[in-house]
Amino acid sequence: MDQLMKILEEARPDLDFAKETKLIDDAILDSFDIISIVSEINDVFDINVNVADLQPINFNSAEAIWTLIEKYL
Amino acid sequence: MLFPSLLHAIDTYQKQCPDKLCLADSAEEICYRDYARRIVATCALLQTNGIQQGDRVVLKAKQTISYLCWCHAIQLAGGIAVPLENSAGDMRVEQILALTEASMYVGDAPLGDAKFVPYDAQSDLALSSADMTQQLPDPQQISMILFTTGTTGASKGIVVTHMSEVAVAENVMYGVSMKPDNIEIIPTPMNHSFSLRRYYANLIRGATVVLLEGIIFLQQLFDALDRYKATAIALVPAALSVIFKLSRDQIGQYNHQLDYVQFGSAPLPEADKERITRLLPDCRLYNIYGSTESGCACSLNFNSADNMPGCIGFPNRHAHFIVTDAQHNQIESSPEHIGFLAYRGAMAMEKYYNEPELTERTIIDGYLYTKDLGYIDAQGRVYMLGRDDDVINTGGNKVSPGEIEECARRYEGVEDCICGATKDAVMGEVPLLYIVAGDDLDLRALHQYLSQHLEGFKVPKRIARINQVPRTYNGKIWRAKFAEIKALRQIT
Repeated sequence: MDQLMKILEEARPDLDFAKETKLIDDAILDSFDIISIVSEINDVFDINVNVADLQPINFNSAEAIWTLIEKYL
Repeated sequence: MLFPSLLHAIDTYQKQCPDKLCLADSAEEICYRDYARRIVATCALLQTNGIQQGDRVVLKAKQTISYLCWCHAIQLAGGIAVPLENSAGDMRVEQILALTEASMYVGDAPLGDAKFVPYDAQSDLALSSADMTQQLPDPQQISMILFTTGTTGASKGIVVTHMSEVAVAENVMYGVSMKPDNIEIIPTPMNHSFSLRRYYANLIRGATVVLLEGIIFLQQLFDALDRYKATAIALVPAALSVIFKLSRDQIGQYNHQLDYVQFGSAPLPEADKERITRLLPDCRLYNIYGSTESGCACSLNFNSADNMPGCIGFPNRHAHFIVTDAQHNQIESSPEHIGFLAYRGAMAMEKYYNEPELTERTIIDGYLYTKDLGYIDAQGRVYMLGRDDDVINTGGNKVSPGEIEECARRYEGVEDCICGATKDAVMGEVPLLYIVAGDDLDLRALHQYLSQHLEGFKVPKRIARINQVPRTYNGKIWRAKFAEIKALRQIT
């Protein structure tokens, strides 16, 4: 989870990812943020997030993103 | 033209094929009859709130049926819709409200002095009549003001009429040979002229549009393709790059389902063109040339024999092209004798909002004079070889930065690049190349590769690394922004 938080904070240093739970629903993350986060996750965790998992619900919070990563680990 | 306005088209199809699916978004679907009924009811709501003929109404664009319904209802009431990007902040909205002296704002919370109507007021409306015959607009009437987000300077308001909307819709419809049973997915922002005009084209065809919230959550695109058996997709080049990045070649599974894919608002990189042609060999694949000021003037099916270097296809139905010299005199053009492209047609904007001098400078005798350099061949195909203000003049040779960038992007390891120029005592200007690449990329080997593939005067005199190439939302290289960053950071 620490590695993920580091990725997220590097992508958007202005956000407190520990608190945000509507990153997509409230349009806090834009498309460029999401692409860079997915690319970093794939590289850092050596996984390949499937297109079927690219759903808003999986990116609304740091916790949701971590749950997604765990699926591949 | 097929119809005097888009509202006439909706009125016609709600009578001819009332139950046919007109629009779908992520939450709902609506047939032509119910769409007309909702527009009529929303129009009545606006009239109750005092909307008058010619009133400007500002609203933020959403990827929803509701948003498009607001736009048409404003127009049916005689008003002028002023859509803004959904990400517009309060300051931007207030600025446009003041600039357009808008009498109404349709939004989530009141802003400025304009009368406020809540966006969700539409959901409480009782629907009854679908008859809009009595209120259908005059084709010459102003229908919309489209504000650019200003990649090269201040935001400009492009004023369009009902008639020009239909003309541009016909340019698209005939340009892509759209069939009446077309079902097109539009994932690009609906305040953007590219997206709106694909929607207009489907409306005048009596076809179906499926709205998506972008393509980042790519599964939604594939789900929509499956669910609606969509036959077409409208994309900007950046969206195709995202599709490739996130799903590799998965789009190829739809080769037999898709009739066409159209790309607009920026030229598609050659490498992406080749890849999508390989994945969708049986589809028509269009790159559209035009501008917000005068839309969809040329279409090229690049999955055809017409796909030649620089070719942007044949002029569309309402577009007439000429080539001129710098003084706007028409010339006979050829590959050896290029000039500036100019075009005119019923799709052209009426004017820039509150900018009479700029309008006079931009449209002369009906022609929109561009800074795009090109020529027209004997068969009538139009070629665009670069923009005059981007062209690098090195020792009298004119070099298009796009050609150098295209070549560099083919080199393995170059993730992105931008070509610039610097002053040179001997040559006047010389090209430079800035690349985004990993540390392991050998700059000397890249230089050697460029020397083998480009004429000598086109080979960049220096190659440097940068972190990112600034791009606009639709994927165009943002040269003005790069020049600004370069100056600020003193990148040499």
